[in-house]
Amino acid sequence: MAMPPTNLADSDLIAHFKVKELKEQAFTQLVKKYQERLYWHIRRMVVVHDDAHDILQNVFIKVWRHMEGFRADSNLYTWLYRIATNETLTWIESNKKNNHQALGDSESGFSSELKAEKGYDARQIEWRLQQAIQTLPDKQRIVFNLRYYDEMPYEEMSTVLDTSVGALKASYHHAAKKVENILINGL
Amino acid sequence: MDGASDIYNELNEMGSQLPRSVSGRVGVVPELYFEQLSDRCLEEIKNSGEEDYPIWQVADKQTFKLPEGYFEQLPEMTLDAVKVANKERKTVVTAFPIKVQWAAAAMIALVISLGGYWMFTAPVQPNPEVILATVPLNDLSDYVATTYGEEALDRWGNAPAVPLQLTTEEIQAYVDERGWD
Repeated sequence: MAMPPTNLADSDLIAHFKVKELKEQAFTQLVKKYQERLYWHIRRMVVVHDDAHDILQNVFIKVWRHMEGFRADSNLYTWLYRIATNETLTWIESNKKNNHQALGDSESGFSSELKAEKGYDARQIEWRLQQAIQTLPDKQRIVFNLRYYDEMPYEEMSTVLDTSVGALKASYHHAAKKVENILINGL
Repeated sequence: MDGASDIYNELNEMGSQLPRSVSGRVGVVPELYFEQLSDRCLEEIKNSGEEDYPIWQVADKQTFKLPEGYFEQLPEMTLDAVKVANKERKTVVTAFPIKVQWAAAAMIALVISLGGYWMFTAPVQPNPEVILATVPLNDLSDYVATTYGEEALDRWGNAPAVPLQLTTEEIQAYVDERGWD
């Protein structure tokens, strides 16, 4: 397979996707462009690599299936995040049901999986921060991660999460305070 | 994106002491994972046999299974079905001789005609209140006084008659209750 041209603009990717001969190249380019951002967005939520990979693969398969119907007036980046977020939340919900966990129990589950991660070190700020974030409810974790790590503007988050900007700001501020408290005072 | 500075400004405004400059990429990722991801996704898509189909075709293909050669055989199947339906229809019609059908139709037409004639020619019963309104009040008073007088005579013998001061409504109520006889 010929290597796709690098750094295509989103509008070009969308246009190439609609041409049968260029579709596969456009897909490869799209995956390479967004895979790391989406992967970490998902991984921060589900912690375990294998789970993150399963979800991410589903996201890209959905992109392949639905891309031809994607409207060019929408933002490709927020559309991808929206699919990734929905897939992740769906996976978390189904995981809760499969494990017969009560609502809200997933945080402690992810917390213990975090401790089992290779290279985990409770003394390092990065790991402690992740540990604190895992105590947040699922949707608040998504909001915090999108803002704090992905630096996503509230307007785009509003599109991704289908929530008002005001509610997202309140959610983020509340989450940040909670995470900070845990970092300072411990779990 | 707003950029990192906006995030940190926001945290400053919140008075937050959360650390800056953290990537949040703390877990281990298998070697060459990102290099191979697109190929793995494409392989997965090809294994599912969907690569040449837009979503709406894929959805149809997955959800509704068609018998092999369905559309090729459809015109012939439709014609056969039409023939069978026509044959059944003919069978039903020939079960009754044409004379019986005409006789039945004539009977039905006759019944409908008689019913209509009876309905439209039957005398209309006038409303009692309308009739009552045409009778002069004096006549009504006399009628009620007479009937009432006879009743009083039956009940109380030759007791002196009491002069009646009746309103139209009282008269009508009385007539409604006792009838016209």
